Amino acid sequence: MSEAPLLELDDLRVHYPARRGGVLRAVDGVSLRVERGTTLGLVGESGCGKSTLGLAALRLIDPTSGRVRFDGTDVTTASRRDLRALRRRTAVVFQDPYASLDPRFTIGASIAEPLAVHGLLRGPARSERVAGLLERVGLDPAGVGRRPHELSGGQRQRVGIARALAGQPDLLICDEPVAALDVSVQAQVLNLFTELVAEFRLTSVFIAHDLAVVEHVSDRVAVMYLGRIVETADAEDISGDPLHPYTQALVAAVPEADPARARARGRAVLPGEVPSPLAPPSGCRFRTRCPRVFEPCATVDPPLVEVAPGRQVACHLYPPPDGPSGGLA
Amino acid sequence: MNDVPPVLAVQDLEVTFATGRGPARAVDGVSFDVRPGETLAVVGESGSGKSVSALAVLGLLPPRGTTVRGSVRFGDADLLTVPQQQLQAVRGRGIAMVFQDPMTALNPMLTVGRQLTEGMEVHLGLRRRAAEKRATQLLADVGVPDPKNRLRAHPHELSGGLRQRVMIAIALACDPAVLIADEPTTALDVTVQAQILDVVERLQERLGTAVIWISHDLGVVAGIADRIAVMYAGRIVEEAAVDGLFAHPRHPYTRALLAARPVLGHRRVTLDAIPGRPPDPHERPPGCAFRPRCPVAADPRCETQIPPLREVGPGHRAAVFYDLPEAADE
Repeated sequence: MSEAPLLELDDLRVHYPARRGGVLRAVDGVSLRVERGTTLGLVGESGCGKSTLGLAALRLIDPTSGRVRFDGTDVTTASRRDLRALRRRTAVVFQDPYASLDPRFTIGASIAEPLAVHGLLRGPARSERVAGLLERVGLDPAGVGRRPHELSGGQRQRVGIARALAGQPDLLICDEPVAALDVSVQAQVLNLFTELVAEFRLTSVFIAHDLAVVEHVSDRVAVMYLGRIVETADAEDISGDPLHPYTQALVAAVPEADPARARARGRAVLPGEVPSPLAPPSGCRFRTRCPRVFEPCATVDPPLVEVAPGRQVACHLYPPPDGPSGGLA
Repeated sequence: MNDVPPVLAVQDLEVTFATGRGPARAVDGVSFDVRPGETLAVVGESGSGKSVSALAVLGLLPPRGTTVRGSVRFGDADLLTVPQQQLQAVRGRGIAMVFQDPMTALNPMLTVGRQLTEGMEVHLGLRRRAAEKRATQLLADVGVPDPKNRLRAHPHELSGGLRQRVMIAIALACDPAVLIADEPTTALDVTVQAQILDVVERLQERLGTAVIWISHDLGVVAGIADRIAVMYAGRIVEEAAVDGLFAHPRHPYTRALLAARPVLGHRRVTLDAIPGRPPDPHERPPGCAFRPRCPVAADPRCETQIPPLREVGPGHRAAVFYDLPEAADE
């Protein structure tokens, strides 16, 4: 892993103008790196900015400030032409394939579209690729002429994945790809995802609100709250040893599928609501709901600092090991 | 708890929809009951018939093209045969329902206060002032901050979590004997979900409400249910007290559902996915509806006969022809 990361975000911000001169800070200073061949899970609750962050990383939304580097190229300043080349190497899988697949297109046409857009393969070679992709995601290639409404939710998500893989991308961004699926079908799609990531050596960002799902697919996990990353860690450490009080609350709120343990543990209830991104609290954004709030929290915004190898936390409870808050590792 | 008679008892419920492709049996002979203060969870995937069963109980299915058979005993009445007016009186007052999506269930044109007080004025005969006072208290009970001012808010001005609390407050407005909650936390974040589960549990303790909690997620109901009924393709395939069901699931479908979910802190390389998907009500296979996806199917009758729900242990029923060997512990 000595190579440069495939994707690097540096102090990325996405702000939207709001009514009465306000500013909605959807993403507010996020720095992250995604190493080649790994999956970074991005977890957080609705409205925390995780989807916006995913889209901004591909410049499908223009960031307000900050930098995105993809394989060494600065995406934020790239020309249209460079951007086009770059888009060929990236793909997105959305939550609702029903919304992202054109209902008039056959599924074959939907899968072939990225190939047509980027001028890859023609004629029989293109049809062959489409058939191969359908087969790989577990669909019958004979059904290439079917339309999205003829498929189940799980089948549509398989088409969404096949379409994303068509241009042989290096980076895959998945935004809540299994949130709309039944438990039994969700497991099939998660298994398919992990197989494909290994098989095609994909680098991916997996965005979801379900911590158990994120832990299952990810190598690294970043926890997001109100436009900021509050903690990053190796996947198993997030549930095993959560440091940030928000991560701890998220872990504690995951329902325990064991009745005796669930009763013994009780229900840790985080009070209140997520504040509005139009007016985030001063100092630490989580302080209004934090059970461990103390005096610096209201005034000093804790930076995300490395507190142990591979572990970053943005919380005054964890001062950086050597001296005052340093920059990002 | 078993000495107390059930407050709601559903017997042999059948719901058939007329469709362009012929009749579809969405609910196929379902029986369950619930006692005061008890929480029954009905768990199943989409198309299992869990929500349709709930709507049938309250007579909320569209009358055209829908055939409902069986009985729904509430007090002395069978809700499937009582006159519309009597059913109207039961809804909200006797049995209340909370839906998954509060945005579609709430009236966007009316204030939260109006939607809360309407039922109290109709069912409890309260005057406006008294109803408003009670509404404020209810909002406070379900954890809505600044309840007095929220009475004047419209649904779109509230967050998803607050809207769901308002729905629960409306459902509880007339102290119903039974609360039916249809996936009320599915669209919510886990931290909000934990808040809502907490609210319902505390109110239930105080008022002795019987709760029927409908969910697709066995994990969510593990911590709140007393009993669980697992549905598949319109039928209950297993029913047991919560501890028994999780400790020794007796139906291959229940066992498969438990194994299919990723569990926090227990990473596995692959999940034990269930192949295929639940059958379309028009294309249910002969015999056991789960058989084409079943890893066990250990009896030749699985192919040809529908296994009846039978007693497999004390208070534990499962629709299987054979005794499932106990799963080896991981």
